[in-house]
Amino acid sequence: MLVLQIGILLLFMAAIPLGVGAGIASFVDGQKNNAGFMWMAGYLVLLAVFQFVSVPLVIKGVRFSTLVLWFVVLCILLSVAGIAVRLQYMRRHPVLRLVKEKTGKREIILWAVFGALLLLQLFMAGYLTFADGDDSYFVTVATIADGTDTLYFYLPYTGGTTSLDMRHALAPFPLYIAFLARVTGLHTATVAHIVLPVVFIPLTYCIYGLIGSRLLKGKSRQLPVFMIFTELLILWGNYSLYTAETFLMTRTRQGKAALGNIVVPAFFFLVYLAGERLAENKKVEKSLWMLLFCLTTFSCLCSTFGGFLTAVLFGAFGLCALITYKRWRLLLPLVFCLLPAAVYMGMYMILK
Amino acid sequence: MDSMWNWALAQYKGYIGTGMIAGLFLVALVWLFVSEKSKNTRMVFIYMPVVVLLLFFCPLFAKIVRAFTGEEIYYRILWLVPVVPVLAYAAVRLMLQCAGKKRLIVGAALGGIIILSGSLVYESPYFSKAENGYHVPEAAVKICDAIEVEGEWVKAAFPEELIPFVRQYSPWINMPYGREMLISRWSVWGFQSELYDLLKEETLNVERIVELAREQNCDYVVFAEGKKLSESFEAYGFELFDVICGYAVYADSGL
Repeated sequence: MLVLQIGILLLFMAAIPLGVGAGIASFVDGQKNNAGFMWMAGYLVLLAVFQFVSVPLVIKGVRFSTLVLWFVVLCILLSVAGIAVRLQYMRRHPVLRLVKEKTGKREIILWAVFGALLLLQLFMAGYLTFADGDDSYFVTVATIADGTDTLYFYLPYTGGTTSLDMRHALAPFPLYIAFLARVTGLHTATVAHIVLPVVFIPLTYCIYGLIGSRLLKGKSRQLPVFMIFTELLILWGNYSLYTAETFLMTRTRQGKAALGNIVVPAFFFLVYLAGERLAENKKVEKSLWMLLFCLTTFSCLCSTFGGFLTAVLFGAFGLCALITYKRWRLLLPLVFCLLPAAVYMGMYMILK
Repeated sequence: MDSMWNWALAQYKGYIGTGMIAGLFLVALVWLFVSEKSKNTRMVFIYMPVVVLLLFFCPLFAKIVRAFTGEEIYYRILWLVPVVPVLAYAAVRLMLQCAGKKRLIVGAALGGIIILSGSLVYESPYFSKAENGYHVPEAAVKICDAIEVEGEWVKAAFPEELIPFVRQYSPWINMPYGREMLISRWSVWGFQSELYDLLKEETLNVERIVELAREQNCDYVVFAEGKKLSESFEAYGFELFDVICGYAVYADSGL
């Protein structure tokens, strides 16, 4: 049974995101064969789709099973579409075998150090538990959804029916935990406290790896050193209770941890790619704008504050890019990317 | 406006802890500003963080955000400052300025500086060894398993240390009070429960507890086994259902 459950988890947390991302990667210059990029891109798309599907269903008050069915179907359709796009791309662009630089002994040792530290973090995620009061809201919402087949219908703290709490219903990240629990048959508390850290911590490092690979372009041998420094900064990042690094290591199952450690680094990576295009006087690919649009939507899934935070990021990027590259045409796609944040914040103002 | 600036500064101080990592970040930012040649890297990893920091300390911005979101989450604006990649990149660049064994020594020294400046997450007092695969106390799991009737609601009054975990494990167990009791500042919103307060006492006032438990339709009352009782629960129609992981579970036999 456990083998089957792990298999389903790998399907929904690795294979399907990779399938979806493979299609998108086919359109992004420099990332076409990058599995890390595919995984990240697939996640951004899938969790944006989860937000698009779940909010209307929560407001409509349907059963949780309906949401599960919708999302399973969409996962399958999107991954099939992604793989089909990828196959078509490969037919048009026959792969020339990449001549890779031979990995040196020093690099192998450094990657081994990085891997060992990562394994330690994953082990600790299962071995230790972090007592956080907010779990009694977020994890309980997931447990109630999976157990009672309802969506935000019962009070998490005490039980009993309640009217829809719009603030939390517009950022239904706990339902993603419930979804994983339902498709695998694992308990929501297990998914929240063990499965999510085991997947989201590597995903965070994957995104930092993507950032490092761009920053160290032409010096890729230094990437494992960058990654080890990243690990040290995250492991020793608990200089206060509030840092994003602390949230990653202690409260991975809460949407705000995903916001600070997946959405924000992914934003910096994607705008860095966009900036590279601008620096070369090329147009930013539509697929990159689409991913940024998905990222904004994903941020709204994480937290009601997520839309606002991404708006600040887009504002900072827009200002800096306008000054640096003097391209007024950037404004239109930037506004397009912010639409989800505007819609969900507007819904909150109207419906709360 | 001065007070808003001071408020934002206080938020910043609370966020940066000892300030060592924040200091390293500022040094790295200045060094990259002076030495980084790539226009794009400068834009994304130098100018953007500066804009975010300027916004964070802008009194008008702080006032608007605080008005909409309250005081508790303003620090999350600081999540938008990419401390980790900037410091890691600066460290790698510094190493690259040296060659041979010197590079290794500089790398080890920088790693040591990070370790000494930061605080290891696993040293947090809120971490403990997980008791099971659910990461909730074994007592909560066993008590829930014992009293739960699948598909039916059961209501039980739990002691404070189990309150946050019961419903993470079982959605079928309702409670007369919840996490609201554990956060003292929430009491201003009227979150109070006499039953909760009584169950915290060293000697339990059985008569009053039974009265309140029945008023609130509780099927069970749970408390640490060692507590003294003013009278026996049996005298009021409750019976000892079980003793589980050091907790006495009393059931209302009248139901």
